[in-house]
Amino acid sequence: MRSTLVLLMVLMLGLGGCQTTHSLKPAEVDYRQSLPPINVSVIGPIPGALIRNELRRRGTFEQVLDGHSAEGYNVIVAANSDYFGWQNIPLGLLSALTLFIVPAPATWDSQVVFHVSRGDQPLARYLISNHTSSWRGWVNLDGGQYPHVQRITDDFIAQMLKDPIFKPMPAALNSH
Amino acid sequence: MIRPLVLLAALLALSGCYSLSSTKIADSMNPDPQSGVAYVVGVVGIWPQAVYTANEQMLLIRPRGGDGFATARLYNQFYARTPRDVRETGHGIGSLFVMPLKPGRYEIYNLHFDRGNATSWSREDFSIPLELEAGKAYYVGDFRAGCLSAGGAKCIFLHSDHLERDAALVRAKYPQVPSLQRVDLEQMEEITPLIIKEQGPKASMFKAMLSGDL
Repeated sequence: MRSTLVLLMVLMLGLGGCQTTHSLKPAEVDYRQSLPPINVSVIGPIPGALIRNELRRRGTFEQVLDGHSAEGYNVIVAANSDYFGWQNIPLGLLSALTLFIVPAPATWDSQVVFHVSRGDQPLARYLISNHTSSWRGWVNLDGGQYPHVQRITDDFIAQMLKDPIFKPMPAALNSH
Repeated sequence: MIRPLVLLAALLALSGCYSLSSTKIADSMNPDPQSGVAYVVGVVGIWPQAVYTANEQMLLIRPRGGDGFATARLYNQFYARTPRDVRETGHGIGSLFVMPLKPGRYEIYNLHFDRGNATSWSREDFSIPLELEAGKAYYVGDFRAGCLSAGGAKCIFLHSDHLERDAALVRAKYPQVPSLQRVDLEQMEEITPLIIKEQGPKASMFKAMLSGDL
């Protein structure tokens, strides 16, 4: 009886790691539409390679490159984020002591501004915030850190798709 | 004492017969009867003059905005190897790959080198776009790997075009594939620093380093 109870408790604690909540709701757009090539540079603690990879993952932009282009579209991403911030250390240690079976709470908070320009001429500015709280343990190793950034980049693509200045091309050749 | 050795020798000899496919394709990318088939054709291998080489080298291809990926690869281990369709003097070898895919938009998005004690890939993905239509075969070229040092896994691909040679290989091995058409990879060098055109302006330093002359 007692061992069953302990097992159940361990199981529930383990499953607790699955829970991740974002304050930013997922955008509902057709990502198969296409947008022109962009050059992306990132200021702030979120790694630039991660943001560019997330922007590439949807396949919406014809091309996503690092840096700045004189004639093309440029996106400067200014991130204010605790991406590399400390999480609750005592609970993290406790979680480590149980081999991460007992999850520890983790939160991620970012306000990201995407400045879009063509050459040097500013076109649009989007402010996107997301607050993620999660239980990090052996079933949820990243503690929602990557989904946190993914939500933000997905929302940026969605806002650009909805913005009449960019006139996205319809999903023609995309059969996926 | 002798018997296990004989057994081991026999097993090792037999393992040499085991040949891997030069492609590995996710189920979701396989063509179905309604979609028709598009082929991506090329060669992955080892650059003939390279001093330091990797055991495994591969190109990764994925549908744009979709899930799954495919690899075109050359394995060069004594127990696991892909067919050596191309062989030059020195240790230049190459595996021809013919990938039947569901038509659509794809991209070459990363590469991978494994040297046993070290592996490497591009930290950031890139996108060399491929637009594939049904009933066509696209030739992406010949990708030959070489590594820059004895340890570590800093390796690159040198890209060249051998359409006539590879078209002849395809006709012999895969008669069902339509005639090859070149894919324009013009922007490739701006998109990734890890694939260099063998005849291009950037190649001279890399060729000198890879061949051990420098």
